[in-house]
Amino acid sequence: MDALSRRTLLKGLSAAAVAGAAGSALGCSAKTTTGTSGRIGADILPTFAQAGNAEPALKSASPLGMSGYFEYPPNPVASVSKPPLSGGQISALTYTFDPVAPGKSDNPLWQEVDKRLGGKLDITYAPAADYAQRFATTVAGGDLPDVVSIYGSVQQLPALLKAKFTDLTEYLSGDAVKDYPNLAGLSTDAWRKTVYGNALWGVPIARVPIPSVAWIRADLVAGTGLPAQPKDIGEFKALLKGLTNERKSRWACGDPGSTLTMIAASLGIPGSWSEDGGKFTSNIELEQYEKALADTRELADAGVFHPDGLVASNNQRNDWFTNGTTPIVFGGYAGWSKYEMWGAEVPGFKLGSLPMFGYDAASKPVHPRGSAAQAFTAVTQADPDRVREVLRVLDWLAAPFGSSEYLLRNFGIEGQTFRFEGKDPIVNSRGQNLRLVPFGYVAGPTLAIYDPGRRDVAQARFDYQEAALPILAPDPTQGLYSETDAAKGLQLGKDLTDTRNGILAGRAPVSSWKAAVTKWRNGGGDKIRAEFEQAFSEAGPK
Amino acid sequence: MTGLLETTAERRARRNRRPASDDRPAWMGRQPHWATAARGGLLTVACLAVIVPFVAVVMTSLAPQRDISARGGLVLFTSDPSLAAYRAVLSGGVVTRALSVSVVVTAVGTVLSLACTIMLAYALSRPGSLLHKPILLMTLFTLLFNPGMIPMYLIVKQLGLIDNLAALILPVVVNAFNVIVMRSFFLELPGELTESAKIDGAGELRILTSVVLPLSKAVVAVVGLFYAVAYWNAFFSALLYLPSPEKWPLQLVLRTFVVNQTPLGTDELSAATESLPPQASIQMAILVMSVIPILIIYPFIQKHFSKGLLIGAVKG
Repeated sequence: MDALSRRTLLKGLSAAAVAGAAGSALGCSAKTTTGTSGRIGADILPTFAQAGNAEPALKSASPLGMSGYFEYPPNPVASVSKPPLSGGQISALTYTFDPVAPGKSDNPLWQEVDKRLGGKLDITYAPAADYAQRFATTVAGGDLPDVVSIYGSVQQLPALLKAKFTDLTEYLSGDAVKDYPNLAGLSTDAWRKTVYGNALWGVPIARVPIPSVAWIRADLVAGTGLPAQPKDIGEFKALLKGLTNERKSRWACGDPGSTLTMIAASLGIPGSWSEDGGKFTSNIELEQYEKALADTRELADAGVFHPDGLVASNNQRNDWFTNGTTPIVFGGYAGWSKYEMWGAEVPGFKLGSLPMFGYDAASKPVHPRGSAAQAFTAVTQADPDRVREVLRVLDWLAAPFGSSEYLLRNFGIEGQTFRFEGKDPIVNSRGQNLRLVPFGYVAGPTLAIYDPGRRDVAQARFDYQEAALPILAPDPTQGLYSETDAAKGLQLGKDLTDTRNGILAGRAPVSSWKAAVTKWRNGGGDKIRAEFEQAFSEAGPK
Repeated sequence: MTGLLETTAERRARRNRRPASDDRPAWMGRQPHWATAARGGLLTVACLAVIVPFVAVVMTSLAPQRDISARGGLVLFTSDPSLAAYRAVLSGGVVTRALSVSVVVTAVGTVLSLACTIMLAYALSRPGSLLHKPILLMTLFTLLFNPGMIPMYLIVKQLGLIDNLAALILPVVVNAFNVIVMRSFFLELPGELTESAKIDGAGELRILTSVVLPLSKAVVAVVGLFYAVAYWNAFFSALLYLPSPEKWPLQLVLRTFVVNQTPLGTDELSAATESLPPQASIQMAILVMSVIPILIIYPFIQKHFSKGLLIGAVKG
């Protein structure tokens, strides 16, 4: 699977991807700040209330955004006053992106978490890539733990939620969420990802919905006279062509697919789907999309892409970026500090980002939208008191940046796993192992921008976020479920990706795109559309 | 083949007796220099094709980020080797614990599998043993149809094996393919041997242990190796049947380093990111670590392995 559809699966970047259909209902990008999807779950969503009292150095203008901190807030206090458990036990099944953590008996950090919870938190987990299988067998086996992560594409999800999990609407809807102040601090958009059939089914793992950023080697562009911040498609093309020098084995970029996404966004093409009066249109059906495709093909013909660009892995592309083979790379917003880390040993390395530009003076560009929630944590059916107890534990885990709970979960115990250098907690090698327990994928707060000792990095991350959030592409499918999408979306998306790659590789003419779209429509695209439209009309105000 | 057996002195004597121009067959004659050179060149290329990737793997596992970035992936030589990747993988004790789990599962599993397979294959190779045909058919049937993930899980669960290391062994204790290989080997042993043992008063168990098995070392070694490698490499059953990560075998633990971090790229800033050495080094260090045990065992059973594969090759 190529990087594009992988990313689509991973975080629902279907907005940006060619595969309009590839995202699962869970993964489909979502619309928040304004407009269309406001009506989905409008009467049941929890009321937002800022959690925590640590005053950020950089405060986001959007509830979706991360706050920025230059140093760890002094004197962290507990955000939850009394332990959520009284001697009981909570079991959880979740996923992780980290290596295996030492088990509880060898892990004082985990033991300390148990102590402060006032009971036992037992977590079993699987690597994120294998989670679907683990989830499927656990559900089939019948005995579910108290909380289960719903991550990735799950077929028949609404029916499954109804059969096995707790409808959390009465516990969390509206002002009821105030009983769990840390959960109230999660963005409304993230909560919307847990809505199925006008009910709340879980606690979201919130993320900033900025999927990918066009990174640029500022040091390599400086002094070339090229437009480092292109204002329109002409300047963008000039930049790519100017950076390419095949004789010196340098190409502007190693990722034609993401370049296409960026050009499409410059034309203002909305997320994976757009909605107008209840009618849904996929981005790939739009004429502008074909225009973006033709522009990218033109760039490909001009040789600005690395010859292996279409088949490279993201790791490879990141290496090309670091060693200067391709001065532009499309990578996750979360990777900011990773690029800085990789580039630290490269002389002169300076990281920059390309802000979103409009195709021409008339177009209103969008920024590709990711998912406001990576997954959500559902609560297995239980009596109301037990559900409340479980939610209190999730609330404890979601304690925000700056609280003492957060300090414990992420850095551990002072003296044992970390020590303060100035005001910043620095984890030692033991702590780096012990803290790999995936607490954060069971429940966690909105993330924070915090790069100890790198004020410039924190500021740059924050500035990018503030510029991108207001122009995120809309996505009306948020909170809507399509069974066909969950079952066949990935395969349909892959077929489209194959056609797209054929065009970008010069094997097929741009005009062949229309046939691929027709095939997609007949193969299931139209059915997905119909299901979304029906779900949309059912979800509307009654 | 005679050329290999005679000593240099004998060969020289033979050459002296028979001038090069005589009519001996071509393969016994002296090779022209260009042919020797060509053969040497070919063998060198073949050796390099095997050795260079291995060197690249080892070197990359030792290389710092600077070298990996500069090369854009695999590194053939690093001037600044470090064991950081190995240290990162081995720190925390998780990998060492997983290593012991893997060793135990592989050892116990291989012994158990061999015992069951030998007994089943022997019984099926004896004409007229009880229910011989239906059992053989059932065994063959499993070659064609696989039960699938969820039915397997349900069976394992009903047997109470969830979170038990036995779940890594019992569901795969007998492999039909290996049974077939071993049975065909037993069938090729001359019937006279077992008959004469019978005349001497040996029972079936005695025949198996004293006559058949000593003659079957080669196939036992091969099948044993098949089983051992399968147990060593298995990670998926552990993923499904063992909820506690403390019980995970080496391959699954190593997988969390490779699979989790690789596609992740820059999509999620994970807790491990800042602490880990370059991803490529980690992957290669893991590769080296998972290959070493097999490399240690292989020389000891290699002779049986090649023999076992060739057995039957000239018997038609």
